[in-house]
Amino acid sequence: MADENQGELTARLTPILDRYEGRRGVLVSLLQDVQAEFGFLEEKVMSTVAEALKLPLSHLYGVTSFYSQFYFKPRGKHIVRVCTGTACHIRGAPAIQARLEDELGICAGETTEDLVFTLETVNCVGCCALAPVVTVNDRVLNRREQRKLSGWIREQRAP
Amino acid sequence: MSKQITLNIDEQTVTVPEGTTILEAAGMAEIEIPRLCYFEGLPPSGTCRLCLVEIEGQERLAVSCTQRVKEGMVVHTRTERVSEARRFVLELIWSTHPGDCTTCEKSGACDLQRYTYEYDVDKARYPMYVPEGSPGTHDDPLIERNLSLCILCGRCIRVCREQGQGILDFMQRGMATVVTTSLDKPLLESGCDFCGSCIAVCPVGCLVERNRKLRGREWELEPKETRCGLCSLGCDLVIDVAHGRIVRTRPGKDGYLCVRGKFGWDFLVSEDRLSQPLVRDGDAFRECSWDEALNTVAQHLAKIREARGPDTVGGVIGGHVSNEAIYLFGKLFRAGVGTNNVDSAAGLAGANVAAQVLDAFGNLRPLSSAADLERAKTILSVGPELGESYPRARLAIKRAVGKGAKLIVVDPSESELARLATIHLKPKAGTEVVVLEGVIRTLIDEGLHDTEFLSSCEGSSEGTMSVGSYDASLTGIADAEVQEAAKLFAKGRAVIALSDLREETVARALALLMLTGRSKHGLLALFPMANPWGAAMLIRGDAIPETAGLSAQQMLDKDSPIAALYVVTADPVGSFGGKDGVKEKLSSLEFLVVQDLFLTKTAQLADVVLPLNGFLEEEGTVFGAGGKLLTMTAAAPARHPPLWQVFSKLSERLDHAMGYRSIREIRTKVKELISEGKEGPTYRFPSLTDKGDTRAKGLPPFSRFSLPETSWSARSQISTLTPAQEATLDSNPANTEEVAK
Amino acid sequence: MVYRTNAMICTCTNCISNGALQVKDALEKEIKKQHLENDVRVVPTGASGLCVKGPILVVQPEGIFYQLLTVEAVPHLVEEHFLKGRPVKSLMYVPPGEEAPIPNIRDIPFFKNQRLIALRNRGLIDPDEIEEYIARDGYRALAKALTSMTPEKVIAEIKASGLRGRGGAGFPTGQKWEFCRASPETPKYIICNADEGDPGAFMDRSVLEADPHSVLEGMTIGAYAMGGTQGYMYVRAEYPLAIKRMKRAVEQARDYGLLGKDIFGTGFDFDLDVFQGAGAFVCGEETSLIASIEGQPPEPRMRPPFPAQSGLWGKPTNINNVETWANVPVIINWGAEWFSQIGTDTSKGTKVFSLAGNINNAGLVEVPMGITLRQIVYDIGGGIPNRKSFKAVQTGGPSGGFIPSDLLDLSVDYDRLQEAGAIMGSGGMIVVDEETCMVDMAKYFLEFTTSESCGRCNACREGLQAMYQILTNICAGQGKDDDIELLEELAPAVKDGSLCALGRTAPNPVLTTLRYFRDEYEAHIKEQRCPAGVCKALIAYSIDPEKCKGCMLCVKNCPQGAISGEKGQPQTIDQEKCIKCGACHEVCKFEAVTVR
Repeated sequence: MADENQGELTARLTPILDRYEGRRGVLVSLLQDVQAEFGFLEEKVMSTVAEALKLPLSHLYGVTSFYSQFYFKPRGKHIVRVCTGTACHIRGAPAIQARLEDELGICAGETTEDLVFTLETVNCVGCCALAPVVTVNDRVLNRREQRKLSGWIREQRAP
Repeated sequence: MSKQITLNIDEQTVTVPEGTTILEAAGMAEIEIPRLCYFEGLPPSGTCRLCLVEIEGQERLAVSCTQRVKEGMVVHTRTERVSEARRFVLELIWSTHPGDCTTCEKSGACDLQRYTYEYDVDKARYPMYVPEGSPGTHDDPLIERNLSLCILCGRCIRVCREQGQGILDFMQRGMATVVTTSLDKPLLESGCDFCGSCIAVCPVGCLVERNRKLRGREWELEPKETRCGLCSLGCDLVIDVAHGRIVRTRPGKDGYLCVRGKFGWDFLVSEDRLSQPLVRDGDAFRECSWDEALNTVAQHLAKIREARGPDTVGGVIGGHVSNEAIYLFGKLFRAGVGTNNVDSAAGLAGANVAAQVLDAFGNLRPLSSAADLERAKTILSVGPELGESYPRARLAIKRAVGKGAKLIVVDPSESELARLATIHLKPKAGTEVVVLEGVIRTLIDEGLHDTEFLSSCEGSSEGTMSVGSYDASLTGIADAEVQEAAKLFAKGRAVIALSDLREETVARALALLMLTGRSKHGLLALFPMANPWGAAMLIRGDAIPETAGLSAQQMLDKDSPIAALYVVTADPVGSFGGKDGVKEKLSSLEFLVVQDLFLTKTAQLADVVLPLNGFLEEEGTVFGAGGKLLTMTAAAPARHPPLWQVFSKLSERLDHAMGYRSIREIRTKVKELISEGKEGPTYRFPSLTDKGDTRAKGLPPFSRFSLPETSWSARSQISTLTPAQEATLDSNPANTEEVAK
Repeated sequence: MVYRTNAMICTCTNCISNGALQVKDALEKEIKKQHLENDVRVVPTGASGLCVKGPILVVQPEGIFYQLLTVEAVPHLVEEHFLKGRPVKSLMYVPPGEEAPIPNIRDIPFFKNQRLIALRNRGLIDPDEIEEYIARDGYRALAKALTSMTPEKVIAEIKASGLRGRGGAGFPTGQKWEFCRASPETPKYIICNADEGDPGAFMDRSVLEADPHSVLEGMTIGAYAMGGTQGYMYVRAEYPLAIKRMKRAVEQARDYGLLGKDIFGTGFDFDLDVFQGAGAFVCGEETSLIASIEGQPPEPRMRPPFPAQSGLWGKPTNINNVETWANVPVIINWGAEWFSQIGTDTSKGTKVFSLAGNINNAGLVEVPMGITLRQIVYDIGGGIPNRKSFKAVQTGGPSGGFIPSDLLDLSVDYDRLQEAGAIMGSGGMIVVDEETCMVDMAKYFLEFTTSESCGRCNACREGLQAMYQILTNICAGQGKDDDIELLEELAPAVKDGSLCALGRTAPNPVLTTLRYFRDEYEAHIKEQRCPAGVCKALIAYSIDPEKCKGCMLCVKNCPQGAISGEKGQPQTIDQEKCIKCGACHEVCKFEAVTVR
């Protein structure tokens, strides 16, 4: 990403910027699309967007850093999330989080060095009836599937 | 007048305009409500919860900085409940605040310190969590940011948006909230222009001037009001001095200083400043007393005058000094030496704007101040990166645009102002003049010019106005764009902001004003010196010898007859280097005196070097950008005899006693030369262009502006000196770029 | 084509994660295989409610309820039920502690005790097909409002119904609409708050997934009543399926002329955009939500001015939550009088709750206001699993509180809950059992609110932080004698000093746990003991040699290798190595691992 020249970057950004051209109340949506395109909000991308929207860069960072679902660093190929909603909390989410942190060797909010896994917590995915819940790449895992998670993690790690 | 509201605050009846907040209304009744996030002049945010007050009939405590007054409202600002709520907030903030008041520069002026004392706040009651690796001091130049002291009031964010570059914001949220730049980068990488406005509003010691550190405690500071002398805008400035040293500067009434005013004075406290007069001793200098130095100078000047005649002696003085000093410098040469060879260094830059304005309008009424610029409806900005070079002008333009003004920017670069512009004309570098001519052409072709005004001008004849047809291929700007700009320019109260001071540019700008009948406050010419107008005019003075004098440029010419030269606060060698044989000329002089702050390249060639007071150290008047006389007080302790005394003493030693006992007497004389009429100042000076006496007598013939129909290739031979180069002509080290580094 | 039978398979997020889509595919395949495709139609629906038992299949019109389906079970099911007409008992619901299955959904206590208004179409329609919604009286209320009612009449009807905002605060909806209508400025914006941020709440997600058009219809009626022209549906990012279904619903409504210009040929224009949140709880606060749409940092704003006067881009704006909007068409169709007969004096209609935590029938329930907590927890929820005892129920999420067992007969309405120190909230209802530590729960909610606070107000940012730190200390065994007093002092001060509802309600979980479970706090502080066995610093695991059979399961599961012993002999735990993860306790089949 860092090697990408400005021309290519602009080429990837232009369709997104065009989509929202002249519309109000689109900053968050626009940046979500930008993030979907680039994987995370890289600095160069942010400054290009700021310039295009004629907004101070600090404003863009102020807005995006407020939310938990904007990212400023490359993320893993697989996003593992531990739901820390109330139902999940009382049914053992803290232990699951501790176990996954241990297995992946990272804290929640971090990405493994090989960029394979990102571990996060999420406030509630609204699947409280299945608590405790883990999601992998937006797929909600029930308890049965969670038991297979360790094996799956090892598989993904194998070179 | 807006509707008035009457309410009761702390048993006091207060009547204020509708829309006033409770906090403001209390302030009008001299009831101070504590606040941390509110700052006068900035939009309120209502987050610190310190300004809570009780309103009768309202269950919850009210945030007085955002809640507006209502008729009949009964407000209590000091009840026990209110105090409890405030104490609670203070206790919370104080619990996480390091509280290193003994070494904090803000101690004594810190709002948090003050309120915690007033409300008798206990520090240790709440167990507060201070996250590991909490942000410490950032490695920024000029501004020290110690985020562990930040109380997240957000004032700096708001002021940076209003006055600075808008580089700060709240980042993250909740406990993790931090006020910083994008990605917490250093200020220098974030586009900060170091105006220091954030420091001025910070209620605690989080943001302080780096260069004030250990120079004095807040309670030791003696504030003095004066003006900034680091460019021609002359912004209000307060200087704080302790122990005979400058500690810092602050914005005055205007509420804004740019990096030059805020930090640029640092050269005044530089270790490298000249402390004593120096006389040449072979290849080296030796320090000497003022008496010895002045005697040496007087003796040599007198000797050379005797031997070669007065017209082999000359003087050049920079635009940084006061009217009084300039006037006396002129008098020293004319009356003391007996020559007209005295000029301001402004002439060296090829900029003789004052002469051009006077030639065109006969007075300086067209001059505009930054305040005029803020009120303008149409603004034409000409000059590369004008906003970057003159941040106060940028702020004025930004404010005007915020109020709906239309902005036309002529600038080859994608500058800050270009981003604000309604129309950005982006000509090929050096072809700005052609663009302006295109605008003039359109005004005439479309009949947008003010014929009534023109016909009122003395000797007016439209027929003599001839402007070449606009050639888009020269500038790269399409006809349509230029026409659009012209139409826009013709409307509303207009000001032209000019940092491109080449003679031909100025001429076109003046033509534009004249064509559209804008004879007052339409030109803001920006110089990187305090007193360009005074330097250009007062140098003429009175008691003029018969023979015409040489200009600064002529004096420095290698074939000039000058044998002895006195250069004050100008550094032609440093500016021109080896060009034009300036250095050769100065080296070959029989006698050279240089008076400056530092041992400049020119000073290194001198026979006698005299030290100089800086702009904050010497009182006097200057001509402000708007043509008004502005007073500079000696805010910092003077280090050397003031210039007027130096010139007086020299004159006396040249057998011409000037007889001034104080600078006030000179000021009276200066004021005599200027009659500040209702419509602005007029001057009783000889023409500055040596073209005969064209003292102010109404408007000059329009025909002076007939612009020759020549091709650009021929015209491109005209000076291509950029304002940036002009800036370096001065020995003034306070240039923005240098300061920030 | 008319089908003999509809096989309604629930495809909500819960059921999907339990394999509902695979089951649906298998079902379709099998039906085809048995040549039943002209008789039986498989209909994907939104949440049926009993989420914990997914995947769920309801065979209509008979109403036979099948649960916990697997792909493997499908061939047998299809053959038996659809081909031979013999319902499969082994796949039916069995009430906890009983043996006889209940075949019909209408007889299952979980469903029997509910009353559906907002969830009227749940399990009955395919949310991706507008026609199915229309077939169930969908958009009839909109037609009625637009063609036979004035906007004032619509507002009068909503006011008369007594409908109160279902988002938490319970502000009368009709009154809110009236304020917005009265604002002279235009345009007006109509917003649906689907930023269901309370952890433990999933009502809105279910409604959006199961019946998106009911919300759209409600909003369009509201827009007509208030004079709104543009709408926003603000859905939190964590609900991808709800967003997808809602976007599809909007497109279909546009295609049918139910959104856009000149709706029903009445000259009324209204259109709507779906806005996806980006992960910030505070966006559930209306002014913050508005800031978020505007592209500003979503910090709450000072009120007044209220959104009804100056909201989105300074224009009059009305925000209601998903459930509120979903109620609107029903009120218009059936009338305020009918609606207001349901519920209590001050709380009319029904309320949707998401029932979760330590409860057997975790899922989505809609009950008439005034029902008791006991009825919800036991009659509908089926009580507490694993022979544990009921301790408390938490309502209102981080803004709400805990209600203890002796208040189980409390009638559920806005005011009773408030009196008890909790709030109705948006409808999250978490049941906790004896193994839940109330200090830990208070800490959990404070951790949530401190990190979700926008952090601008001092009282909220620093005050919650101080409370959180005190709770952390208590849980870590470092509580001090005056900590409880300090918490009681901080809580009202934070409430009083905060700008928005987040700070004003965040101390509630602490206040209610202090009110009802003070002894637990005291046990932590004075006796260094966590009665529920949760706070790691205060507990130790040990193995009862009497009960331990030496099966070694705990040894296998201990991540630290802290358990040792001979196979077949009682095991012991090395307290130095033990990290108190509780894995041994969880896996032990003989209840030999005890917590002290």
